[in-house]
Amino acid sequence: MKFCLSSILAVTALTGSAIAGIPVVQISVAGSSGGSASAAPVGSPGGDPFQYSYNSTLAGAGFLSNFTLTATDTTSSDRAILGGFITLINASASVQTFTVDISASTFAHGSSSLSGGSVSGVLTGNSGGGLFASANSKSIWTAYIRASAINNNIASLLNAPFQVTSAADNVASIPGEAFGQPIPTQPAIAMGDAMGIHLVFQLGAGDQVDLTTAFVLEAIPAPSAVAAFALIGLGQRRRRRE
Amino acid sequence: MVSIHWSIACVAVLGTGYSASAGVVSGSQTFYNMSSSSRTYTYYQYAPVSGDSGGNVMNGSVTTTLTDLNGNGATLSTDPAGDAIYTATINNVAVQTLWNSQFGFTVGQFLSGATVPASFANVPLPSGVPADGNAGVVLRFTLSAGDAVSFAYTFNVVPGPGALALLACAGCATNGRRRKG
Repeated sequence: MKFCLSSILAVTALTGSAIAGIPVVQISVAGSSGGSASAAPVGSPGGDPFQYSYNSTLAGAGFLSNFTLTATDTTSSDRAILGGFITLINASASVQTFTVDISASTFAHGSSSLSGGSVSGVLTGNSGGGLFASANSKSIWTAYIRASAINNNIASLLNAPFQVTSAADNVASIPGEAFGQPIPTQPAIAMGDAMGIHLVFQLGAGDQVDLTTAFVLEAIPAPSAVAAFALIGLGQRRRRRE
Repeated sequence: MVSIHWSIACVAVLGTGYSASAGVVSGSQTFYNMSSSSRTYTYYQYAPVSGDSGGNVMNGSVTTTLTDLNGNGATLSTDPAGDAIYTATINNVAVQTLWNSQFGFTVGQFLSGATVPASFANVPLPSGVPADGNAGVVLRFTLSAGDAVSFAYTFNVVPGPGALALLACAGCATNGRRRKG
């Protein structure tokens, strides 16, 4: 009984007090021509254990987009993965700056975390060629941890100035970039209420971009929780000796 | 027109966007292998094509982005039969291939990577292949478990420089006759 109680206390210290369950994923897209759309797709089990997949198609004035994402139930796993595919078509007749945000709720636990992420993509140009570029001197890809309603930036990729072009009716690669390799090894703050990826980029008229990305966090147990586990171990050892 | 064959039902194939105007096949397609083993896919996309009686040339390109979503690396390769990953067709006859047998692309743990695009330009239409009918792109590949890949591809048939010159001459002649009349 003593052991059970100690275990519950230790696990509580380790994991915090968030609600267990399927991650809540939120997606939003906004274009500079005024179109915007958002969604909160429902996850279904997919891929590895504790992973859920999400599909959503969002259309607004001047754009069409498709999202296929995966997120982890962090009440069951110390490792959180948010990633997948983003497709966006600029259906307008002029270059637009798009802002895309995807986030997944996480179970706040640990004293800190290890992080890592990557992104790459392909660009398909129309008959006038293709353009994918940074906008307003901002990084195209930024990963963040949301804690107490504040987005804390963890890392940025595809930093400004960044530009990829393609010939008419042709394709071009957006070279892959990553941080925290081997992923995840870059120290970061503890998991909060959510993890997310924020994208800002320019896309040529009639062009299409397909991005694949992953953002990974791994919780590092709080020292108090580690100490609790150590005490439990010592207690068990003493009882065995007795 | 798009049709897809895949190995098992738990493999998700996700239409992301494609377009087909006369003689142009262009678009992108995403595949997410949610199963626990590698799977082989075949994907078809067609568009009507109407070429001229002669002198047509073909252009095409393909590139891909691959992401490991389960932390054990990701691999994209040709199918077990060794078919090219990209095959351009006219009336179901293969007229050009890219990323032929033994093509392979890998990324490490949770990484994303994009291949160097492959392309062909101004390749004459093979003799005996009519330029009217359906132009198509066929993608055949094997994808590792738990990972995802997105392709972008194009294929079009256009009048070649010779055909364009002939058209220009015909236009001039017609113009000349009108003026004389």
